Amino acid sequence: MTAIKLAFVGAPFIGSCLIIIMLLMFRVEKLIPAIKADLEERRKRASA
Amino acid sequence: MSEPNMKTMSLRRDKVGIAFGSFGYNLGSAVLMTYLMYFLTDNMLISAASVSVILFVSRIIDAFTDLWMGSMMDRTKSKMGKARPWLLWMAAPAVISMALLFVVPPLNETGRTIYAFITYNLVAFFYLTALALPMNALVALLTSETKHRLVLSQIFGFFSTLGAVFVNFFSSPIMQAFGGGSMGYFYYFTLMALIGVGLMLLCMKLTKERVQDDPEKAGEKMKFRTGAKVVVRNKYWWNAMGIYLMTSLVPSCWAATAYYCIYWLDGQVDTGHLMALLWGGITAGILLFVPVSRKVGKANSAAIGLAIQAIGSVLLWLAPTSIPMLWISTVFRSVGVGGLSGNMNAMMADVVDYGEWKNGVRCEGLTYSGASFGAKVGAGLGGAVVAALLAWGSTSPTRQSRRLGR
Repeated sequence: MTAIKLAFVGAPFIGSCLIIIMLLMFRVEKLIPAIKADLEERRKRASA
Repeated sequence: MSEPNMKTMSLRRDKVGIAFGSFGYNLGSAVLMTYLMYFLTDNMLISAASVSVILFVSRIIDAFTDLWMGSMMDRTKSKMGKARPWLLWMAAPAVISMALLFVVPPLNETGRTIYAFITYNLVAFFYLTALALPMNALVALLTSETKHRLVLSQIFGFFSTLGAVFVNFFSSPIMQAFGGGSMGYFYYFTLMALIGVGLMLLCMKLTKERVQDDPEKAGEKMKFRTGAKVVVRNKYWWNAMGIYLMTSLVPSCWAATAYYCIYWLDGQVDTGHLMALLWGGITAGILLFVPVSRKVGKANSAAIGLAIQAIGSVLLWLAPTSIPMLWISTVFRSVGVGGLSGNMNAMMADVVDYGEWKNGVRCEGLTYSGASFGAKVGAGLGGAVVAALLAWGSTSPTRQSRRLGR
């Protein structure tokens, strides 16, 4: 019984906490507008 | 038709295509998550310990085939693009392998274990890798506009979970209509794979890959080594792989749902209905988190969702035998996961852009397959953890069958 409770409730709880930590480290989103502008510029230069 | 009108029209076709494809994909894969372990222990009569080994080893193999598949996708040059041709090529093998997995062969336990191992690996490759990867990468390949990507990612998340709600909710009555037991599983999974693959082919037909490689490199076929170097140098790829790993570990623990309903709740709650609520909650969560992700960003919105999921787990831990608490906790856990599901694909598309900007090479295939590698390892670990815990708790398939009255 305890094993089932651990598998069904305990493991997902620990998993969620670890994902939150990793999500807080995922900071690429803020860089994207600048990255896109730069990539667009590079593409224009390459096709010119 | 004017150019802006044509653009709007094709974007609408992309959205409809992604909706069909993601819904179809989960018809086969979500129900597999719910019932596979139960089918193997209860119908194939394989011990929980052996199932634990099968799931873990297969997922690790599967994780490596993902990398190979991603590299193959990046090397694909066709009129249809990089990802869409694979949906066509892998359709028939995916359905056949799914049907084979749910055949109980007239063999002894060792023979059945080997058969399950082989057929599960076929499903893992043809369905869970060769169809999943192109489906996921489509979001990054259809458009480079951030706003559209986010919308496509949310449509992807919404309809894939809606597919999961559908298959789980109707699983018990349809299986019973097919005669129940092993035959019920066989016909149900074959039918779902058939419909699912049909919808993915429709997605292939409706969508169009518009994001092109760097014009200087467009004609070249990328070597695996080059692609791999680019991907491992991308720090956010490692970050995303870790998120995918843990994100798959959590739902794979839902394989314990059937056991929880039977042992803790004495069969008072139907597993299929509980799973349907779980997936339904994720679907609602994706919608609820749309404004949140626009306001605070994709990663922050996902973190808020996961915090809600953690609260749901704590609630159930405190009152494990309370049925009302189970429903409340399920709503918390599922709506919370919705905060992450709707954003994952768009987050990966950001990782692809970052990789291209940093290293000058764009590789959607390997980036997505790397994340999928993490997801497979996580699912393998999760399944193995659940099966190992059940083996430790000495869960007996025959006792379970008697309790279910099957």
